[in-house]
Amino acid sequence: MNETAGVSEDRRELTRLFSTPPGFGRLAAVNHSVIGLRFMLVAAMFFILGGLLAMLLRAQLAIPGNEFLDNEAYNQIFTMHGTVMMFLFAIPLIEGLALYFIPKFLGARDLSFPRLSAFGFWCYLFGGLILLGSMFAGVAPDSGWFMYTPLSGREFTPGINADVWLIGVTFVEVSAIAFGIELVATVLKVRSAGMSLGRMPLFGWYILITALMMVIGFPPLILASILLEIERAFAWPFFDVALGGDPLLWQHLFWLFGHPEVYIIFLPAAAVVSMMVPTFARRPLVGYHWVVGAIIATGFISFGLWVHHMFTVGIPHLALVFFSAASMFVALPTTIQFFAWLATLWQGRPVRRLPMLYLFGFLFIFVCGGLTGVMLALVPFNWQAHDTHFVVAHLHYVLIGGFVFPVIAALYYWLPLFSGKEVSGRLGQWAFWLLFIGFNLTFLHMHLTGLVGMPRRVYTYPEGLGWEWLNLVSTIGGFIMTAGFAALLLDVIATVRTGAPARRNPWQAGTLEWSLDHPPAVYNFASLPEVRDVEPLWEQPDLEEDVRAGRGYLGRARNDWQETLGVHAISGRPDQIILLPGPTYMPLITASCLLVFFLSFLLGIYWLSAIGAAASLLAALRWAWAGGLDRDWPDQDAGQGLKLPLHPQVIEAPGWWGMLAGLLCNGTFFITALFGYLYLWAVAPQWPPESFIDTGMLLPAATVLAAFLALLAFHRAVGNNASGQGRPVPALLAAGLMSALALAGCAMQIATGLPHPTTHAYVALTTFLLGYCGLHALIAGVLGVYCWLRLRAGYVSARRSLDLRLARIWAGYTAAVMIIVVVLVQGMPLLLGEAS
Amino acid sequence: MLVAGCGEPSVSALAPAGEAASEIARITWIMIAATLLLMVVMSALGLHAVYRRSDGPVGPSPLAVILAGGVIVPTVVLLALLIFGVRSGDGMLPVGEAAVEVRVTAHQWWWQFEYRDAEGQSIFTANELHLPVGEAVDIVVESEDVIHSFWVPALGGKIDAIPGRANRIRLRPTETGQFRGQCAEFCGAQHARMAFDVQVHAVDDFHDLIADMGGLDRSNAGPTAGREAFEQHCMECHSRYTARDHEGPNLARLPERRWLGAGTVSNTSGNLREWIAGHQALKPGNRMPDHSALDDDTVEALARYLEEQ
Amino acid sequence: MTPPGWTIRALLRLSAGLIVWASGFVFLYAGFSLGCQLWAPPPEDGLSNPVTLMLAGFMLVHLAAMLTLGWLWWFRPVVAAADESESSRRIRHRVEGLVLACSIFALVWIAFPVFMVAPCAG
Repeated sequence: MNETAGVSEDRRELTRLFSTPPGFGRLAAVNHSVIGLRFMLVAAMFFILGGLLAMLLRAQLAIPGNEFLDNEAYNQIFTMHGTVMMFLFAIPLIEGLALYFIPKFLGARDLSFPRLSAFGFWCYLFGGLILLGSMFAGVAPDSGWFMYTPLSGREFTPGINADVWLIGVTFVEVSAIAFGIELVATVLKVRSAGMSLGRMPLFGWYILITALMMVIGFPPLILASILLEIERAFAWPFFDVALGGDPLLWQHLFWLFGHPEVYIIFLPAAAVVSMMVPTFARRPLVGYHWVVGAIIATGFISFGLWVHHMFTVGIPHLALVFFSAASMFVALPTTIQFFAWLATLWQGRPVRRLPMLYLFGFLFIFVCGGLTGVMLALVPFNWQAHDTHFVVAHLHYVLIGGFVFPVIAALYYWLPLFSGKEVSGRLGQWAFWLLFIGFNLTFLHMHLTGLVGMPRRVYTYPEGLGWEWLNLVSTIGGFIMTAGFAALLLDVIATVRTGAPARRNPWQAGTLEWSLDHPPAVYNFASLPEVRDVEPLWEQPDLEEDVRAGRGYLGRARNDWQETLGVHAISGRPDQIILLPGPTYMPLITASCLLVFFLSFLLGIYWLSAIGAAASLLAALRWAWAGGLDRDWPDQDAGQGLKLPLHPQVIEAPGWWGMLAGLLCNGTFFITALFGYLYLWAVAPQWPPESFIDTGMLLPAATVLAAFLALLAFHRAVGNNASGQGRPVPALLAAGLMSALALAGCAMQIATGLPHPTTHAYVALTTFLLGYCGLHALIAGVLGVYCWLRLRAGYVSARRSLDLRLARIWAGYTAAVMIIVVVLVQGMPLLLGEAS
Repeated sequence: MLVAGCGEPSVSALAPAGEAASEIARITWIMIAATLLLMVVMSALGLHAVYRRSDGPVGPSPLAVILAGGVIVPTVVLLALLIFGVRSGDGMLPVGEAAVEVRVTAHQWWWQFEYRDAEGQSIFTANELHLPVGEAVDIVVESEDVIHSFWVPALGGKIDAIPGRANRIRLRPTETGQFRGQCAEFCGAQHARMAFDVQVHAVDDFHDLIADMGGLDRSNAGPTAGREAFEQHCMECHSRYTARDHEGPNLARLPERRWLGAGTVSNTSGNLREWIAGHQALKPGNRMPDHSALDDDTVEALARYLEEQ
Repeated sequence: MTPPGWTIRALLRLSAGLIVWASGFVFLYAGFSLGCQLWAPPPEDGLSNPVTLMLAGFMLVHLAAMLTLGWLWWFRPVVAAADESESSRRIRHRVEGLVLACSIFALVWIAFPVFMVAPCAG
């Protein structure tokens, strides 16, 4: 009796700690369930918008010579349809799904960086609103969602339309990067006790690889967008062929992002399938390690396919063959997953429920999309089918079959969990058949529409070419599909509002999330479980009761801390107690500063933009300041007789992993920029430039030296801090000073050694690379000062050294890029330099 | 099947009239058949896995399922396809000498074609491509502004027109007749109306035609009023002399063309008059300055001048 | 307490084969592009040309690296982390092997067309 009272007291306290405040306090929310649901809701809104846009397109194409939409409206609408579906629906929905579920699947109370996901949400919302607003202002992007230069350049798109795309999408991408970093650190560190990598639900593997792919895949697009926006705003010719640029550089960068993007969307969908199939087969997934291997293989190989979007640009045949071969090869990991699911169903005792119906839709439609994808990988066929309606059909089979259907299955599957209401099923079946029939009626024969000669992205077509009935049927099918989505929406709303209360674990699944309340408590787990299997609820019958009764880890609330376990990334052995942040406005404030930056850049008010950028950096530092501890704490009781250190006192804290993931992202950005430099040098027609960089050797050598001395000084500061011998302060100040010198060195190389960047792509890219190094030196200097202030305020001690160690990693990265850039930009002209 | 009715030019990749297109159409049908077969098999397997009669585990061991279905079968199928694709693609490349070379320059939103006559003099036409049957023809594609893509589905694959580059594609028509070509890469406001007329002739007819086109000069044809109006309103961008490379489409062979405005409307006398003054209504955003202020007499004079052979 | 470097090495080892594959892909594609710029062998030369030779070399070097990894996988299998269960270690070992097999397969798969066609045509 007494124990029960204690448990409910603890649960009340946990509720208080993890709750989001009411009213305006909602803007300060950081709880992963709240943020995840917000992501999914906003993404659903954008899905409805994107679908309505598609209906307008289909209405226009219903008959030849239609005057329902003019060319301007049509071009804006098809551009926005693609942009909304890719950037504002698919990716954010995945983010929301993973943010909401990952801690629940992995047995944690929240993510590693809850404030970062809140920040990501605001970036997504603001970027999305910029794009949405442009549509109502009639200046929506109209160069296609792929934004090929030079059509998207200043000369051929003089208005603000293209800038809206570049800035809006980049703003949204910030949230994707934030998500990637967050999820890498979370999946590796924030799991339940005993959950080794080999016992992680497959969803965790899928999301780990997806997050890594986002961290590596989005930087090329961000780089390309930045370069194009600089070209549009300041006339630096990165893509202008007359001044040494190359429009194909844009295509390479765009598809270097664009193809992995397809798998970034598909893998999470496969993840939910891999969660549902074992439940409905009533047994664990067979071939766990096969599926893990397939996920990793997909992650890698999907980066070797991008040129199959460029088979007609005039690249030599053998190069096309490399990409053709890789495009076919990537089908193998996907078939492996399919047959692992099939084998699981064969080995199990399948039960037939509503989500299974949607999984059939997925199987049928996605297999078809995969097979037409193999067709498109064949070079000669691609020469015919590229940029026709065949590709439109193919990509909708892949994305709707491979993403939307599994997501609807997931929606029904987890609806009882997150709404607490029972799924009835009648209307959901109607919705399925409307969607399935409508979808195939829209897209199946659209393959043929392309093969009989209809190109993509045409706003009208003449009579008599044999395209009339094909298009009319597609339009009818599209409207049937819309009715299906409407039925689905009605069913979900009806279920959430008036459904019967859900039974506990209605599908009798085996993964941890079903041990939670329906809907889950704000803190997820009353105490954190110890797991011994991939499906713990099947193998550990007492787990649920133990967790509820507080007999797991961290069952007691204390010190107003929001706690969750951090584990060793491989073994799942608990190694720290992670203190989670409470509600704060800092993510919103930082995102608002970024909004000022982006919006004023869009409107051409560059001074305000500079203020926005500086304010964002300050806000980020202020935010970082709120973390950490101001005194050393002894190891704390974690329950089960275990004593663990608090995370700011651990070497492998989540922040350390976050820094690594962030630098992986940054490094990809950097390598892509180097690729641009080398690519233009090797390929662009108007090379070499009139003159090369001319600074003498002293200045670049001094710049590199300063960067390395800064690194040395940070290293010294870390050493002094750890040993307690000698004070870290002078070393930090030296680090700041050396970073400032490195910054000055970069600036002087640009100012004295190069003509104006508008004269040639060579100058523009060299300036960009040196500017990149300078920016890093600047941040290293700021970090030196920041660490000094933290030290003074008592946030750093021999045990609490994370701030210093992170600054050292940054300085190391800065020194590395500095020496690479300086050697490259000074060395290439010496090696190959023959100015024209 | 699936080909447009009589009178209309063929636009379909599945009704090939060229060597590359035939080869691709053949592999297309094979792949479609294989795709349908595999879809039936996969759906049947999926349905069987769930709607089978027996309640307990069925089928071969999981490892065998994954290995056979996930690795071995797809490897065999894909490898065969890949090897076939490499050979087939290699055979379509523009290797060795071509009998005829046509230079194509894509503009927003029309096509310029440049031939050489026997003396090597350039001949310019717009939106009409003439080819000899049975001969290897190299099309060299360039762009004047943004990226476009040259595509005649009945003859072969497509190749992009990219600023700063000259891309080459080899076509070898196997049948005479009329075909429709069009831009396949989104290129702005009027991407939809950037088609061209392709006519494949017997070899002798082709050479006769080129000889006729060479040096064709209709600048001084027809009534004076029309000529003067042309000089006043059109000559900055257009010419009626095939040797002249102008900013706008060459109009020397306008009377022989099937369409106006790169496939916007058919070339009838009524449409020509409507086009001259109302081209911005017919093809909004096209690069020709607005001429809606022209009075009816000027339009009539211009039309007569342009129709004059 | 394992040092952080151990964890990162363990994660890299899991995907080592495909990391080599990625390097091979970059070498093949970049080497091909630069080789065709530099030497531009005419298509008539068929397969006897410096570009094909260089690409074959790249492929063999990467294949050798993968086989070395295979030797390691066989004779020096991954060890368990402190407190890691044997089942978890076995899964890592198996995934590593599958990834390695996949990468060898993928390398040969994308590289064999080098020996089918003249490199710089088209």
